[in-house]
Amino acid sequence: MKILVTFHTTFNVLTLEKYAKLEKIEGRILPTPRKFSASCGLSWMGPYETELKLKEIIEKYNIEFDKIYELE
Amino acid sequence: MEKKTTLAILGGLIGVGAIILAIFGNPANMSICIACFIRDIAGGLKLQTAAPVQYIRPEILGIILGATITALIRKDFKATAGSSPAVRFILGFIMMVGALIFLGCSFRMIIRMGAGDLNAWVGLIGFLGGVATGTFFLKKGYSLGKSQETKIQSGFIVPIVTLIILGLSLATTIFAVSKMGPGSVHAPVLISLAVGLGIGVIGQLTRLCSTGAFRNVMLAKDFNLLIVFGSFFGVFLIYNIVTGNFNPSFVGQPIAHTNTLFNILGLYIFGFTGILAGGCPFRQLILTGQGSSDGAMTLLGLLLGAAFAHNFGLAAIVSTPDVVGGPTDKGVIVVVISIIALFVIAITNREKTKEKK
Repeated sequence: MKILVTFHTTFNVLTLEKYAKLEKIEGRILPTPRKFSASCGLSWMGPYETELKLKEIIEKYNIEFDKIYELE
Repeated sequence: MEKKTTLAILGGLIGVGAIILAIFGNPANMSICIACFIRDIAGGLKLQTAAPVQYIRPEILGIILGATITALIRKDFKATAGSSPAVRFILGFIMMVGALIFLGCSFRMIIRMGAGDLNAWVGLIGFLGGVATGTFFLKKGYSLGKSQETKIQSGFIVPIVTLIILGLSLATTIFAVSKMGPGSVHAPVLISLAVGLGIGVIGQLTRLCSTGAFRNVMLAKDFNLLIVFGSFFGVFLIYNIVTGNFNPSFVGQPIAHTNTLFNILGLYIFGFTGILAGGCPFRQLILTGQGSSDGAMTLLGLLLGAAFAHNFGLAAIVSTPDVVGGPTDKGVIVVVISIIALFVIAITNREKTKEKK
């Protein structure tokens, strides 16, 4: 399973990427899959096991996100 | 919609649409150009008075309406607004200035490249440089802030105005129509409208955006949107080779100029602005069609940018056997001002991470 984090702005997804890399959390930026949005924004996708760590980063650095999806 | 073959087919269909428009009478190497056609609409609405470029281009109206219809069917229609609207207006204005210095947007760049216009291949360098500069500032925290959901009426304003303009252009003669020049050269209205609708549907489905395509490569190593553009280019290139319209040269290209520096700078401005505004003119039409008032503000900027560019002689002059062509003196000044303005906007709109104490 994977998790997908969507954002309202590119700034926020790049901020998450920066701190995820610093904390060595697996995952990558990708264009938000079409079925989740008609916008052309970017999202973060990573292994399901990283969800808690990601949420910690989101909380610590006040990163505004849209939704978190769990994907099969 | 992310299967690569599907994307390639849809990109190819845009190329077929461009070919249909070329066959049925749109200007040479300009069968589809979003910036040029918005400029022509500015002329048709008498916002600018350059006699050769006045025509309510049905393709643009079709693209907006195609996006609206598709978004409504797919339940993607969402009225949003409030992400630095005045900045977006200025970015739209500057994006049009860049396009009119090069003489075309990214769509026309592809079409010109596919016809062998080497000035467009040179312009591609500027386009990529502009996108790279914009992406650099994205990495440095550039953001216009998030848009908010707003009243549904706001989202429908532009599609409704589009319908009204379409109706008036079909039923009356109140709009200006060029008697000579590119504005007088066009495919039959219904064919233009049908192709525009089709391209609008594809744009909504694929989220096609020229600047976004390269941004996705630079930020996410994702090539999906490039597949769409590559396919569009490939189909048009094959058409030109088969029909004998592929003429690789700098000189003698239709509605183009040979000033290398300003072909590069025009598309540099265009690419840079496309990233700062969150999409090229085509993407702005699609966003507007699916309810974005921020997209509408950018579109308004594009429209008024075109009006100013032609009313005040900022657009580049076409090279002909008798005229060297290239930017006007005022055009050179506005290029410098535009680039400075873009850097000021990029630098002053950076956000900083706020770590919780």
